[in-house]
Amino acid sequence: MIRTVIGAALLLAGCLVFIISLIGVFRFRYVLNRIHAASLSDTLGTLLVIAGLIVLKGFCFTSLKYLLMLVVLWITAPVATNRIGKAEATTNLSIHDEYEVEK
Amino acid sequence: MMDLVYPVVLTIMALCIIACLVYAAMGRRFTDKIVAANLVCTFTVNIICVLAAYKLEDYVLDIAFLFALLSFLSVQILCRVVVLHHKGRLRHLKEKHPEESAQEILDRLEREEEDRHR
Repeated sequence: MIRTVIGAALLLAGCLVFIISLIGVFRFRYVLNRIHAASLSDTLGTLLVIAGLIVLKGFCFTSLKYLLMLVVLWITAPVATNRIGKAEATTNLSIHDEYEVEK
Repeated sequence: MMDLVYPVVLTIMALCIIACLVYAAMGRRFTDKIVAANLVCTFTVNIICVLAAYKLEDYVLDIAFLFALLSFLSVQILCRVVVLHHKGRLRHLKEKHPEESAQEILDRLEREEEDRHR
């Protein structure tokens, strides 16, 4: 019973993080600010959701698969965000009006 | 209790995906749309994981795994295409107007982009 409650709470916390990151994506003005909010759901939201599923499932082969999923997402998502930031910094010509960029 | 929690979680994530699509349509720059695509892929992977637990079908997780790798690849390729398009445009303008300095060509490109967004 207590495992179910903890798992459900983690799942709902993950959903809350998703909603907060979406609010951030809509509130910020520029892309480099927006990827900061978007990467929140990539890492923290996914961690909470998958941790909730692992707690619900208990220790078995499926939970190991969930763990592998988390590892893959944690490796790939920040790299993808970094690439988006690089592409934005390369292609945006008015970047010095929008942010303070170190030369 | 979990019969209630799973549908609620899935509904919230589906609404998040719809909000991402709205953001992709509203976003001014092309990188906005790449960010939206990345977010949609993250939500989809999470939805597949929750569905695997909800329906007790473990093999669905392998599909989620593939989806995560493909979403990573798609974002990488889209970023590469955007950067290459920008560089090609710069080179084209340099060949078309060889007498202009680098700053003038950048200004010209910026004006072109503003016209496109208008």
